[in-house]
Amino acid sequence: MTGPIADPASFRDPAGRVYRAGERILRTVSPEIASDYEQVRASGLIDDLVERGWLISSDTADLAALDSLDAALGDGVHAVIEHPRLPLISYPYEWGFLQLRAAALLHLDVHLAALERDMTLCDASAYNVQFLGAQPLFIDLLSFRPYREGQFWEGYRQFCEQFLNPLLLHAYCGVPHNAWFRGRIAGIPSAELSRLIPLRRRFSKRVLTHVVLHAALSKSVHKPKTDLTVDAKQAGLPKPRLIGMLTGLRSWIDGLAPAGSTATYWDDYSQFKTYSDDETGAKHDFVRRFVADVQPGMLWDLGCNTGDFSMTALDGGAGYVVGWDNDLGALDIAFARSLEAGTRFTPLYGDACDPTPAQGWAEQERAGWQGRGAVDAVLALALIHHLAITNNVPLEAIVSWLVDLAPCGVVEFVGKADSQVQGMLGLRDDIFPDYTLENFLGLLGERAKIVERLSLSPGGRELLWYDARDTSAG
Amino acid sequence: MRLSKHTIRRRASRLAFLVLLVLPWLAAPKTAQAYLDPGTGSILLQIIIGGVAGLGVVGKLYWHRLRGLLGLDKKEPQEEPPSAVK
Repeated sequence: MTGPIADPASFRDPAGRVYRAGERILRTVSPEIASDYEQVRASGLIDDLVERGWLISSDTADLAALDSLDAALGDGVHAVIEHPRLPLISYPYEWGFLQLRAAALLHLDVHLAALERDMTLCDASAYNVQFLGAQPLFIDLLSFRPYREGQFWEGYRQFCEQFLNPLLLHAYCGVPHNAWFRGRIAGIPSAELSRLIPLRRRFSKRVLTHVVLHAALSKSVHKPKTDLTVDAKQAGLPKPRLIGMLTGLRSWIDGLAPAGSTATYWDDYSQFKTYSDDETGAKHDFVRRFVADVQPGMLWDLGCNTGDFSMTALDGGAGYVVGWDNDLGALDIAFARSLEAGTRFTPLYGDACDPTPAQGWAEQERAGWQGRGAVDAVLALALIHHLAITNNVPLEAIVSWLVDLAPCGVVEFVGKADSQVQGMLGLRDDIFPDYTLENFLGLLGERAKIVERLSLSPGGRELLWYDARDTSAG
Repeated sequence: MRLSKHTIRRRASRLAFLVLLVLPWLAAPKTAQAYLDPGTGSILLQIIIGGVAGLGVVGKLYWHRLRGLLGLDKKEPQEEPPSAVK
């Protein structure tokens, strides 16, 4: 029997620590912040935010109900709290523009609500926001502390690096934040962004303040001659100014959109509505049948695009759907539609050929695709030809990877006769003699049972429902 | 060309802002106790945003800076560690 496992990302703030005990999520509160914590609790802020759906709920863990190893967490700590387990942990470099913007706005709203009750946030980490479907949710209970008059916004730099600057990079420079943020998990420094902001954007008061001046000041204090120190508490940031900063940032961020996008581009997803033809309709029926039969708690839709089949999977009875795609425009549409419908579908930026790696401290702080919990079922529609033909991944490797990722799923094989594959091969040699439906069926059949297949177009597209849970098939 | 009152006021405010931009260049205040390093530049910026009271402190910083340059104050080295994620 193993005891609770400390979450590898929960070590920075000594105020407490998060543990996983089986399926349960427990959080300890250190004695050092006991009085702060009780003040926050007594203020009513926590209940208010939970009621608004902004903050993850928390209960005092019933230590008596835990087994002895888990209950040992209670030794020497002020309190042990239990949170509901989220279906998925995702990271800001996996979010599209709209997701990061929604997370930033939530963070500011939570901070403003805290200040109303004379509480504040001691940090501004984007990793403290998670998504339940498309709803952003603040998850760090111990970020709340009593506010002292004149106190600076300690998380300001972190807010800029992890929310504001990545959004500005996309909005003002036309460069999505994802690759850079993934390459530097602390976010994008103002000093670096400041060098990239186009001239015509530089002279707005907001950019001058939060980017240019912020960068210049941060740089100047790195110089070795700046050795003078005073207690900044003497100066302080009056509360109305802090609130002004937060509301100013809020209205700025609320108005940001990816460069080159029209204001309504993510609203107009009707063109992506399904059932445009018989083939698509048949595909949806197939997926719905599969999901209804398998009833997956967690389904991954690889290459989810705007989420058509993710929605169908939810309709069919999937508990939760995570969609991955590398088209950020499509992801914004998928996010907007999930938000509007209030579904349990979270679209994320990712690429099967370049999946999110495990990284951060000891390469464990932020999980890769593999560390994201069990995937019960997978959809891989119009994906295999991209892996095999565009990225030269051998069919055998694709089959192994897919079956290892999820024990059952629906996979679409797009043959060489298909116009899209023809287009892919148009400018290169056909070095894929093994890329045939027969070959793919043979490889998949070795690893799993083919429960059902459907030919969508002769010699072209074929849907395959595989199930590897029945070991006699393999 | 005659400038409207509004334009003049806007330009003056922008100029005042640019002056503020270069003022606190050399100062480095110590920050409050926190697990997260807020970044000295980020605190300085908030001193400026803090307004009049903050300007007094910035002025005081320069006074100390001047004294330091003249060798009247003892120097205390300070470095800013890289930011942290959580």
